[in-house]
Amino acid sequence: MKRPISLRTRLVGLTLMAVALVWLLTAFVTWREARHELEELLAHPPSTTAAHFAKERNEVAGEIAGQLLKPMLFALPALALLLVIAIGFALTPLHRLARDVAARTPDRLDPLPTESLPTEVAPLVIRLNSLFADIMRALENERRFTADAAHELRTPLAALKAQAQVALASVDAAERQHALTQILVGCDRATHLVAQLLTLARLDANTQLQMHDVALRPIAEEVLAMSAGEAIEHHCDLVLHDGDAHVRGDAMLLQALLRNLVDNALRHGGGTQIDVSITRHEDRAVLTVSDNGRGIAKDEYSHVQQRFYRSASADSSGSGLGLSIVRRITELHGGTLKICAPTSGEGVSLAVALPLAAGMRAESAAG
Amino acid sequence: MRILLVEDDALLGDALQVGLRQTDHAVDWVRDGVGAETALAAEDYAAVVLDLGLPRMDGLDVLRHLRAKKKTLPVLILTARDTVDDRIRGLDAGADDYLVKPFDLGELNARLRALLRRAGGQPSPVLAAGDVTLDPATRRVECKGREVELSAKEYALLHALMQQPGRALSRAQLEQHLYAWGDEIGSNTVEVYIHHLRRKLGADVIRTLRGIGYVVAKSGSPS
Repeated sequence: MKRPISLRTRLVGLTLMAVALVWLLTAFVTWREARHELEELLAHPPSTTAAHFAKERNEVAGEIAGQLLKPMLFALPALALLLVIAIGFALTPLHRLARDVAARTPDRLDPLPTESLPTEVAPLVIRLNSLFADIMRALENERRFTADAAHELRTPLAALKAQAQVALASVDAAERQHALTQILVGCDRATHLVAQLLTLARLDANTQLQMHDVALRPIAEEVLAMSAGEAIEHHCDLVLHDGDAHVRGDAMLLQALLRNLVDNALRHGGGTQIDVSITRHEDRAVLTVSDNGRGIAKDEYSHVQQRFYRSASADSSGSGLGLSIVRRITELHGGTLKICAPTSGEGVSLAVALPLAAGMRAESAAG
Repeated sequence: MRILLVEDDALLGDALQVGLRQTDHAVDWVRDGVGAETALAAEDYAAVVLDLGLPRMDGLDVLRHLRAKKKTLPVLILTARDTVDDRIRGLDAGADDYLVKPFDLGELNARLRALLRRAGGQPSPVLAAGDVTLDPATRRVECKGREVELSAKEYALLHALMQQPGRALSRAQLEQHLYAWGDEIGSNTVEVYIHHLRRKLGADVIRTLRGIGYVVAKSGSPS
């Protein structure tokens, strides 16, 4: 592989070469002129009288000087031309790079070649390449998300259509009633799915959060109050344990995060109690939602965070997006999401660790 | 005909089960790939309606395993992915037909009828044996050009026998065609339906082969 050369070295080197070339040319022309004059001088030796000698000498010197100026007359434009060519040549890697960058479009973001680049621009190109890779990943994610979303919307639509056709074709009143009820259930489910999809799409697009000091407990109280009705339907107790912590975050998003966690536990946990706790661990606030239901198999831990993944044991009423939303909000807050089996061994426990607000961090460091 | 429905979506599965029953199929519904394998190993189905995105085992794997066991029963796949690649993969894995969600229940039924017809070696959509004709599309049964009213179970039984005229089906096989899981089976119901059919269509349309079962003759009665 060719060793990378800096632009400076190239420019200096090529300029020196051009100057040396012109210098040699001048020397050659001078040498020829001098020889010519000397030959003439020797062919017609000057008379010996002092006055005459001085005149002859001055004449020859004047001629030599005049002849010396002549090559410079050509040498300077030649030097200028050579310099233009040399600098142009020295800058070709930059031109090539500009052309390569101009050829990149959102559809074509393959990495730029990094070999034989001047050392000044190599870091720039490497940074550009990693940026391209990031953009490609983001675009790919979006493409996959759209495809997945289309896929996920088709199934509820198919169910709605089939139920409607069953209702139309039915001659049995009870059967028709059942199909119509199912259509309403399906509409609710599709509505939920669309809402979740929109939440996730907004989260993906928006990375600028409204960050404030936020107390987690009031958020937890509100979310649990909102979920109370559904908890009763599922014969499930909601318990909020003592403790609070302030984090730096977006209150609306943190509320959505907790609502999804509680919703998830209610819909898919299948337990009789959901425990929510807010604790502090070093410089993090830990929000934990645990249920005592059937839990998740260990090998499913990594899958449940994937978009649209629905556990085999779960009914299909969910969107498969809840945990994706939770994970995304956690990421936006610089936190981490952990799934584990609770100490009791039953059910599943989801813990979101978020950085504490600045004031609290100092307090916990002092305490 | 007895159909295995493999669909993990509760609402869609429920609709398909009822929808297929409305056209007098006996339908067993399983919600995941492993359940489908178990059902296919245990029972004799006329056709399978298979969703591809299944928990526990992918629909395509179920299909590949089924074909690896040299089972030829018709399989219609339901897919929510509509790219050409997905369809090609499904058909290459051994599917006979596919429908992209959301689909029309009527079309699903028509495609199933076509698959069942081809599987039975019947090129014509209307099944015929002697004086009796049966049109699976309209579920109209005629005897000597005159329409005959049949109950759902009577129709299903006649349909099974007329699928392959000349081939005898045992009582157990006929029960398989008539009943899905959870249906009550009376001890002599097949005999009762055969009796009804003979009364409506004529005594010699369905013959009893002692110890073997029942058969519809290809060219009707020799009389």
